[in-house]
Amino acid sequence: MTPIVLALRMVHALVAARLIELGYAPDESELAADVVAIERWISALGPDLEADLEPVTDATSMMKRKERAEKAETLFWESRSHARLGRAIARVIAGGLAL
Amino acid sequence: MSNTVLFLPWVQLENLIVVGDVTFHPFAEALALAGKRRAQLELFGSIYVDGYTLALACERHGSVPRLYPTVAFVAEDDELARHARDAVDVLMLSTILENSMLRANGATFASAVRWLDGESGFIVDFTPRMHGSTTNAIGAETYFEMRPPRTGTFHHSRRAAMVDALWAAVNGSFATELRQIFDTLRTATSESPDVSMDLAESLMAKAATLLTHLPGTPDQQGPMLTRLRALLSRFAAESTCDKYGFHIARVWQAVRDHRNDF
Repeated sequence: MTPIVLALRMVHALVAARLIELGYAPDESELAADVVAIERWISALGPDLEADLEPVTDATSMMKRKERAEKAETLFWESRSHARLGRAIARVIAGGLAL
Repeated sequence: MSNTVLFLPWVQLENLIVVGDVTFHPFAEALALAGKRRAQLELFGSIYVDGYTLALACERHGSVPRLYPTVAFVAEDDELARHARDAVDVLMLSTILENSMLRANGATFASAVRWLDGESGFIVDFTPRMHGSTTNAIGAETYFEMRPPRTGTFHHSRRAAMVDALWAAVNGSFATELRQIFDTLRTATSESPDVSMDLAESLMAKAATLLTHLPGTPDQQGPMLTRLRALLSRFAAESTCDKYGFHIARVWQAVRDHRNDF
């Protein structure tokens, strides 16, 4: 993963958090699920995260970082899908209990 | 139908998209709505397509896709033209966040406001500015819009929740900051050769500062980190035991350090 991919997701989380904070999206919206998914995703990157936050200049390391980027992107989408599914199920259960 | 039209040359739509009160039409659909200005709109479409085709043929690219622009009709008013540009930025940011920079980029969302009733043989370009606007005439025969490196069907994928929230924010109290964030991210994701990876990361750090900033909060690591933790804490419990508190905050610090070295 390149730092720019990490940086974009950091901005993504901050946009979502700020929109909710200012009341432009509800607390339980999909945007909140995005923040949770991004936090979990970065956590799951583990040692790769620290490696990618350091500057890389040689070609071999850059290629390895590109491969990690593709893997991490897939991981992010999986993480987001899980978070969205979890929220959807919670909403259905909450709706059922309210009835 | 209005004389003023907003074109998105590199956004390929199959169906219309509505952002707030601005509607983006596929070209064929816009033609049907253009009424008495249909012939002028058709001419503009052919200018985009033929200019692109001619330029690529010169570069010996073989078969050339013919792309017609996406169209939004705009009333003739500085404020409304700016309003339509806001809708483009909302579309851009929500698409990039949904798809990532590897598949979507800010360059694809370049937009232009044109007057259809301009003098024959000229494209009249109308640019809303912070105060007032500027108008330029460009020779239609020599006009060419540079194609971004990557274009594709990713424009079809965005989420209504993000579009709605961004649109409400850009029409509310967060408008000034959000427009600065749009500008910063458009440059960071432009894929222009002038924008190095280091500059793109520095711009991301600027966007993060704008997003976390509160009036009266100085742009210093300590107060900003406290503010960042407060912003994130409503979504997740403290998820790390280090000094940052959150993994997102760790990335924030790394990108910020990178900006300071830049």
